Amino acid sequence: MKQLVELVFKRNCLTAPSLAELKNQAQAALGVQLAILDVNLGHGEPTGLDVFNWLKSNGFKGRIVFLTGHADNDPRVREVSGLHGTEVLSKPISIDDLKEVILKEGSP
Amino acid sequence: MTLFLLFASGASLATSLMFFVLSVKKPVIWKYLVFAVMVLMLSARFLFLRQYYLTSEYELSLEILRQKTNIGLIYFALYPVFICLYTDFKPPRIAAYGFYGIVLSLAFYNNFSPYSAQFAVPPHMSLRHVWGGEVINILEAKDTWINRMIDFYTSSIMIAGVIVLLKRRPKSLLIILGTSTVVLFYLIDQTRDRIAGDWPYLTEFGVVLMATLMTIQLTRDFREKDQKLSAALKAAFEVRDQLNTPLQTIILDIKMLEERGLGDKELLARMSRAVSRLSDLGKKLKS
Repeated sequence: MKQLVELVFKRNCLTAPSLAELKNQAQAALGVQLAILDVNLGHGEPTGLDVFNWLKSNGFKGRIVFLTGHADNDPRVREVSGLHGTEVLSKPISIDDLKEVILKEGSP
Repeated sequence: MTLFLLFASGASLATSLMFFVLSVKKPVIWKYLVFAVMVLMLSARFLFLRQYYLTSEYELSLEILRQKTNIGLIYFALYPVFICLYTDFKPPRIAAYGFYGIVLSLAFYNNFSPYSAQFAVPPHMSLRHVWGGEVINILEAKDTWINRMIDFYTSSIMIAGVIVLLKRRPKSLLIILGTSTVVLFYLIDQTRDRIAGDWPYLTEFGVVLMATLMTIQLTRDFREKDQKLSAALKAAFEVRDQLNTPLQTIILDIKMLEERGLGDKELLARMSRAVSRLSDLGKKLKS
C-alpha cells in the first residue's frame, strides 16, 4: 500500500502494522491528513477501534477511513460503523476507489 | 365420541394447512403436498363419520357412508404415492396401472351400487352405545365375499406400503412408526368387523397419530436444515472474509507492477479481470 500510494498517487505515506508501532511514530502519525485503519490488526492485538481512540485522544485532526475484510454484521465492523465522522470501506477496494479516498484529501 | 371426531377433524385440517403452505412454494415439495391432501381427506372423513353417527335416516346415512368411502378411496389412492415419494421407490408401471384401475373400479362400484362399496346386501340401521354413554347410529349388514375381497385388497396394499418403508428405511423412523400404526389399526378394525367387536374404530385415530408424528418430524427436519444452512453460511462468510485481504494485496500489487512497467501487460490485465471476478463473487455474499 505504502509503495503504491507513493508511486501512483504521489503522496507521502506512513505505515504501522500495530498500535504499538504507531505510538513509536506518534509525532509523524498525528500529523497526517488521512488515516486508513484496518479494523482487524491480528488475533489478540488492539483493533482499528483502539487505534481510532488513540488518535482521537491525542488530538488527531485528519480524516479517518476504516478498511475491513469482514462482513457488515461483524461486531467490530458494526462498532466502527457507528463512529461519527468516519467512513468504512470493504476490502478488496478497487484502485479507483482508493484513488478517490486519497485524492479527496488534497496534496499533503 | 362425536365431539372428539369434530376435534380430530379440526386438528387434521390444521396439519393439512401447515403441510400445504410449506409444500406449495416453488420448488414444490411433493411428499408434503400429497400428505397435506391425505390429511385434508382425513379431516373431511371425520366430519362425514360424525354426521354418519348422528344420522338416523336410512337413505341419508347410506349416502353419507358413500361419500365417506369416496374420501377414503382418495386417501387410499394417495397412500402409495406418499410411500413412493418418501422412499424414492419406483414401482413397476404395470403395478401402478393395476392399482389405480382397481381404485377406479372401487369408486365406480361405490357410487353406482345400491348400498355403496361397504355393503353387498341391504344394510339395516342399528344403535350403538359408545364412550360417555353416547348413542350413535350405524348401518350393519351381513358380510359377503365382496367385502372380504375389498378388505383383503386394501389391507394388502397398506401392508405392502409398510414393507416398502421397512425395506427402503427412510431417515425418519417416525414415518415408519406412524404408517405402521395406521396399518395395524386398520387391521384391528377389519378384525373388529369380523368378530363383531364393540370397541371404536381406530384407523382414523391412527392417521391422526401419524399426522402428529409427521409434524414432529417436519419440525425436526426444518430445525436440522436451519442448523446446516447456518453452518454453511458461516463457513461461506469466513471464506469471504479470509479472501478479502489477500485479494486486496493482489489488486494493489498488480497495479504496482503495471506502474513500474514490469510483467506482460496482457497477463496483468487478465489477472486483474480474474481478481475482479473473485471480488464480485465475495460481494455477492452479503451478510
